[in-house]
Amino acid sequence: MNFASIIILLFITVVFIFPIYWVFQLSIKPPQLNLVEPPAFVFTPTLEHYIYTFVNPGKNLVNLASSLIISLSATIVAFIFSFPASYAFSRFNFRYRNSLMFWFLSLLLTPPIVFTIPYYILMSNLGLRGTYVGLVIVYQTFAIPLTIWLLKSFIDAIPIEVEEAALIDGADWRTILLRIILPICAPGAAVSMAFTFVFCWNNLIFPIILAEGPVRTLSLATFEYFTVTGATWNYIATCSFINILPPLIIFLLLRKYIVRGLTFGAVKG
Amino acid sequence: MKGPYKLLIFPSFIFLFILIAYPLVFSLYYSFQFWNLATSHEPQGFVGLANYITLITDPRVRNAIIITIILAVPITLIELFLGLGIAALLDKDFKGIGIFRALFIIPTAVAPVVAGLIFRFMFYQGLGTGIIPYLLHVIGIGTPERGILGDQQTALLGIAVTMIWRWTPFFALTILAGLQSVPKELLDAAKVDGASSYQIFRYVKMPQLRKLIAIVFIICFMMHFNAYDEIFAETRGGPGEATTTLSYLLYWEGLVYYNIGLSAALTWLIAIALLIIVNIYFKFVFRGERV
Repeated sequence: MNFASIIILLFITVVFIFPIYWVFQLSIKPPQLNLVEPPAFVFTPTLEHYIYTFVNPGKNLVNLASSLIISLSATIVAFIFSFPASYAFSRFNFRYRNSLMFWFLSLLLTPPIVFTIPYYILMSNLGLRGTYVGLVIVYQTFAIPLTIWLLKSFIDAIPIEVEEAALIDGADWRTILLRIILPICAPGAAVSMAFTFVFCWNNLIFPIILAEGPVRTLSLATFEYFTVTGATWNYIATCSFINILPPLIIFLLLRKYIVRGLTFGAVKG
Repeated sequence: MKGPYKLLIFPSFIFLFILIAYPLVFSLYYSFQFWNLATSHEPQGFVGLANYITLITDPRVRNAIIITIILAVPITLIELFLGLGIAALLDKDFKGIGIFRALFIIPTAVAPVVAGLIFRFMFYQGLGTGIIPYLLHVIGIGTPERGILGDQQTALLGIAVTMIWRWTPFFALTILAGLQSVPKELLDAAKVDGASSYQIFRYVKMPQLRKLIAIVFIICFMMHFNAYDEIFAETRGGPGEATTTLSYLLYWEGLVYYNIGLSAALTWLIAIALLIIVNIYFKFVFRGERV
């Protein structure tokens, strides 16, 4: 590794990290410095924007909570549906297996916008617009396929001998799934769920059409700081930075699995 | 192994099938109807293929296709090559390399809509906040009077920069993982034969990466094809229609103008186009292997 390539790498890294630094510094900048040119790089940080948005009056706290409630519930529901399916895809060979796998994948890759108008009318008719339940249901469009693909990649790694031994001992499939496979793939299941959580957390389009009132997610509520008289950039930056934190912490903790998570399990990494 | 695979797959399949069937049937039916939700709660009559014909001859659709393709093909390719370069740099061994590798994870964790918000205020043409116009002025490059995102000529470039920031690390990380999984024996053999480090990268490592790149490219292609969140945050498809992608046009027609019939037809056109693209691509890449 020569000196020149370290310098190049350092430069590129700074470029890619800079936007995160910039949103963070704006979230702790005293508002009177917003309009100073050249931009103030050195200043006494303030927590007033965090206090305003999340503590007192803290009107975005409810949005943070609903982001959490929706993402967590959607992840858990997706796992319950996906676990048996990903086991079947991992272990069995059957007709249309590949086609079914691709069918699930295609739901993950389809522009979510094509579902929005029918979902809007469907959820309005069911009276589920503006409810957690409605959002958790429509999130399954991508959460189930994602969990199936990720979880399958972890179950693939479990030696098949374990189940064969259990089958010979006369265990039924329910026992095998819940008593043998689930405990062995628990770490993989946790990783899969963490990634599904991030995809739910980062979703914008379904809340745009379905979330109302206290069910509005944090991303959606951030837009309320753009008003006709101008944008309150400090609050936007504060909400944005808080919004980044959960996915960021999950990705950094799970960096060993990051490639698998980002490619839906298609690349083991 | 033999087993109750049908029973295991059934719950997730039927759940999604019902959830998806509704939009599909709904869109197919209403794509042959005239229906503006703003003027009527009921469909306003069968119009045959009129919605489809309107779309095919609509210059806005042509414009949206061009903008979608610009984001999905050249921009994704730029990210691929930048990512390849960064991966090559990260594939070295020196003290502290782990920190660099971890730092490149950060942009991939940021929600596309938040990436859009961050760049919206970095591009902002105002004192203090808009760091990008400021830096450009410092090095003597002028920016449009109405701001980078406010000008017809540069708005799409602004969206492209946002996406390049968000997705280049995705390529860098996945390609890096591929580079590091190249069998050591291959590298040793190449070294014994006197290959330079560029030759090893180009002729030993790259061929091993073909399939991985094919997979990550199509994922990224789709995410760019579907681009919506960044546009919602930064430009709302404007100014004019300078950043209106197909996704954004569909949103606009359906949820702003409430042209349900027209947007249902557009849904089907997009779905059919994607089905063809993705199927050909996967046939080509996997050639019938077990996935």
